[in-house]
Amino acid sequence: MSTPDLSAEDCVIQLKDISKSYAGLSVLRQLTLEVKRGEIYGFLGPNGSGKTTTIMILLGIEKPSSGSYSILGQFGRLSASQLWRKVGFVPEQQHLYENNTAWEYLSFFAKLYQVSHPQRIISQWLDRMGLAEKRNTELAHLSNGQRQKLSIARALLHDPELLILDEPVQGLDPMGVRDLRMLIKELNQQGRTVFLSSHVLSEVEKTADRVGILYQGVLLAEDSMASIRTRLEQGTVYQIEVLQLNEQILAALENADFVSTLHCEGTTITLKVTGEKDYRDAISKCIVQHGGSIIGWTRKEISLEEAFMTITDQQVAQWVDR
Amino acid sequence: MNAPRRLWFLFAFLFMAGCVPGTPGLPKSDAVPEYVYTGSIFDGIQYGAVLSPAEQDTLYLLADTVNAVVVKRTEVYFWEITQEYKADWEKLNQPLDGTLEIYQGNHLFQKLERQSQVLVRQYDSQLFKEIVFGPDALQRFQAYQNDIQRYRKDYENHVKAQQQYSEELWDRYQNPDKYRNVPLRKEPDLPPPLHEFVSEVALTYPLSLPVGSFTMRVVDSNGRAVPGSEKKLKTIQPRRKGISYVVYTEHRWTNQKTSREPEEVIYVGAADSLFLQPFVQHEYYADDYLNLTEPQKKHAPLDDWMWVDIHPLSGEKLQTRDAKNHPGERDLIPFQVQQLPGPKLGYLIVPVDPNRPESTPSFSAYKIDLARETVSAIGIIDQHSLRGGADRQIRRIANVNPLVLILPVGITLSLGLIAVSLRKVRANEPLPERKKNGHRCS
Amino acid sequence: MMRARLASDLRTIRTLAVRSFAETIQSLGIYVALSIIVLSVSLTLLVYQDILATDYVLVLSNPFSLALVVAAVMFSIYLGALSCISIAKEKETGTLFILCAGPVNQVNFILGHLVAQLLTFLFMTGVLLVDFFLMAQLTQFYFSVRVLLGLLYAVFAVSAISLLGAFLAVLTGRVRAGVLAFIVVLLVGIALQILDSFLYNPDLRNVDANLFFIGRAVHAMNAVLQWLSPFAHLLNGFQALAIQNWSLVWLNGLASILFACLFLFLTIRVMETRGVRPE
Repeated sequence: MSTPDLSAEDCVIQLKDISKSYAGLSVLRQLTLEVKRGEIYGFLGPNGSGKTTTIMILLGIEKPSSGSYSILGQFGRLSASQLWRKVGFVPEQQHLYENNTAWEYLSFFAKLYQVSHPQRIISQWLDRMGLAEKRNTELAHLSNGQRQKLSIARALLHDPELLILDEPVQGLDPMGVRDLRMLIKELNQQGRTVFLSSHVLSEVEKTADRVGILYQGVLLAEDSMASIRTRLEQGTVYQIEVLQLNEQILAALENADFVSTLHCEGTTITLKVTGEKDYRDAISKCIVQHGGSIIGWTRKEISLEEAFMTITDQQVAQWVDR
Repeated sequence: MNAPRRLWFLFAFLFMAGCVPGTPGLPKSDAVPEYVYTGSIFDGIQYGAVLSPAEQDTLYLLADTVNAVVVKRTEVYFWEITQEYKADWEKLNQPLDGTLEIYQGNHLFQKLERQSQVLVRQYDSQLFKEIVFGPDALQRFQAYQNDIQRYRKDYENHVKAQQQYSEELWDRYQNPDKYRNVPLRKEPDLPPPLHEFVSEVALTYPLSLPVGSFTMRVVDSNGRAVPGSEKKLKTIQPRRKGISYVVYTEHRWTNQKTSREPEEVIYVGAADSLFLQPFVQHEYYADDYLNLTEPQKKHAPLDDWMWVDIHPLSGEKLQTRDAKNHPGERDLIPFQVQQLPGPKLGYLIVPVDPNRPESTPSFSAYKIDLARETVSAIGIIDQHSLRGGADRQIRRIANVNPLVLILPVGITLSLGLIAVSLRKVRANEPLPERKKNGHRCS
Repeated sequence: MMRARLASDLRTIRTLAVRSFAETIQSLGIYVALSIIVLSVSLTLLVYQDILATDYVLVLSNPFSLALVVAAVMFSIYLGALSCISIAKEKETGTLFILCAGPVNQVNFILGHLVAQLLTFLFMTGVLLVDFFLMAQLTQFYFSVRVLLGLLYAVFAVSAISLLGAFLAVLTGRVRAGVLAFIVVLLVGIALQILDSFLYNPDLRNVDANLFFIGRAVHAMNAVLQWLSPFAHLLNGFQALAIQNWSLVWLNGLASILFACLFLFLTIRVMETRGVRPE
């Protein structure tokens, strides 16, 4: 596949004020997002937030109630615009032809997608997905993880520019999850844009360049992970393991001006300090003065899950007030 | 109540309203005076009497044939026993004088006046096949009357001659010496029979129309339509014409088969000979034809076609072809059916001996001797060419073991098993690349 | 651009059709259906043989004509049900959704299935003709080319009934409900015809006036059904073939084509309205 132009203004997916309702129930509300060429975009949200609906609109399977969208510069059903040649889609649930073997299944889609040298391509992807031994197995006899991998192979047969993945890690074991992560990164390095929709925040955190957080049909935040962390991280969180931890130590730390929150579990203290100043020296002196010995010290970054919970709480309140 | 439910209620109400009995037209049992159409109509085979009361709204006729109808006032009653309307001619029989007007839509198609009319049949036939109108009708009737007079005289003379002959015979018996050298004279012949039978002269309208739907009525001398004289008229024509064969075998004489369609094949089993009696046939729409021939008989509306045998062929030759397409011909021969004597069951079909006038023919047919010849196709030669609709195939069938006929079923199922097995085999085939190199592709 | 798109669509339809066709002929069901028809013909020929042994003479226009009608009707019902099942299954299992997220649209999908049914029909016709020919050779009963014409003529009815099955499949969205709806539609048609032949009788007027009026209502419904039903046009077409009335043959064929187009249109509309995702 040829390496596409990765100019910063080159948008692969654009959604502008997309709203969608089903029988009076609002599923998406003025959703606006952009996915740049060559990035891995993590589309986050809990179940029922509207992620799959957004994908359906992008693929042209559903029509938005209002708003406009484009995918690779065109809009409408993929088949009408011939965009299917450039887009690969892996759905959340694997809908397969159970009576076919893996080989037959991929052969069928290879023909459908007009893949040249189909046998070679299919062999490559079966090998890559670790399904070479299962090529003659009926799909009904494959495990969930194998079915997932087969779906991914199907989506990649025609070497698409854009890959849309809806909950791709569902059904995968930890090895499979890791393999998938590596695959996504590999595909991205080859120049493909990946639109990754998931509710498994830890995986998105490890893979995505940028993240969009969807909650109840509203895009609450859209930025890089680092920027989101910076926005939310008002202060620093330390995890300190202390020998001879006592009440005086806890009281002294609680009363300190620079400590905003303190939590103790066993011999581990988790405390959050406000401001940008480095308070590690003050904290150690406080612990030592009150008879404690520090045996472990970690600086904890806010996780995506924590960021998500924070953002949703904040933004929902703002949305409600709006 | 929401809209769909309302619709259901409306539908149910309408349906039940439709079920409420109306006033079905019960047949009247008391005689009522009314105008009826009567006369003689042709059904393709013969002329027959027709009675069309006012209760019957349409009169059916054959198209392009001459029919005789007249409107009469009579008392009509419903005869429960035969479930039909009858006319009490003895009580009231008043022909309606006037002009018969035939309309097609609003367009006056024809105007007819009553004419003298007779029906004619050959003396040896029971079927009236000829209708004559006008002065010719009167002439024919007069000729018939003259013929009757002639026959009466001839018969009287014959009776006298027969009496004289009997007396002579008696005398010969009593006085043989008197007539020793006198040869016995021939018994007097019966006088020649009447040539034809002609019906009484009637005054009727000669109705001959092309195929279509019409209405008719009688208008009086003042040009006014006579109320109660209106009637619809439908003329029908055959969809197809052809030749039918009634097929007999000697041993199953009573079990006759009829072949009507040109594509039919006559299959023959163990019979030695085949007799084919040909008829000219016409195909009509069954509902229309039954309304023509049995207008008062109620029948369920039929959406089908029926063949009607019009008359048997006479004189035409049968062309035969064998398996190698060699042609042959044979004539139509009169045959007599004789029951086998004694305890044997069955019949013997023999040609009528022209030298034995007492042997009357049972039927005329073409005979095919299957023991001596192989005939695979037949046709009728009509003036040096083959007649349309008369071709048939003849095939001799030998009994086949029933198990042999199950063979195709087995073949079909086997085909299925092969297809299913092939799929499984194909699914387990190694990849071509693997076969070649024995390792995975990169 | 249009030409390229049309070529692409045709390729898609062909791929879908070949897949569906291959799946059908690699399953045993189609051969069981064929075997039932062939068995019924065999039994019919055996009955004819018995009649010949008893009566010595038998007159038949075409010993395979009854088989032709049975085959054509059974093909239509089988392929209609198959169409219903295969499309409903694709909707129910979600494979339709996967296809539509790619190069397939509703029209291609339905046409692909229709072409598959027609290919299956041609295959079944071929197998049946070979069987008929074999039986004709074994028994000497006449096998007419008209049987082939009649079977090929049934393609019009098969198209219409396959698309009726497709319509019911997308309407119900489920295999079981779709098949049930298909069976109900067939049974209603058959029931109307039987009731009509039973009740539409002028003699009923004298027996029971209510029954008479019900008979008239049923007759009116059946008359409408005769206009709408592809089976009615199929049987009328056979009659027209028998008497070689070609204009009637084409008229009835055209009627079936019109209904096929109507069902195709309705199927696509329902798919567009209800979507392609599994319910």
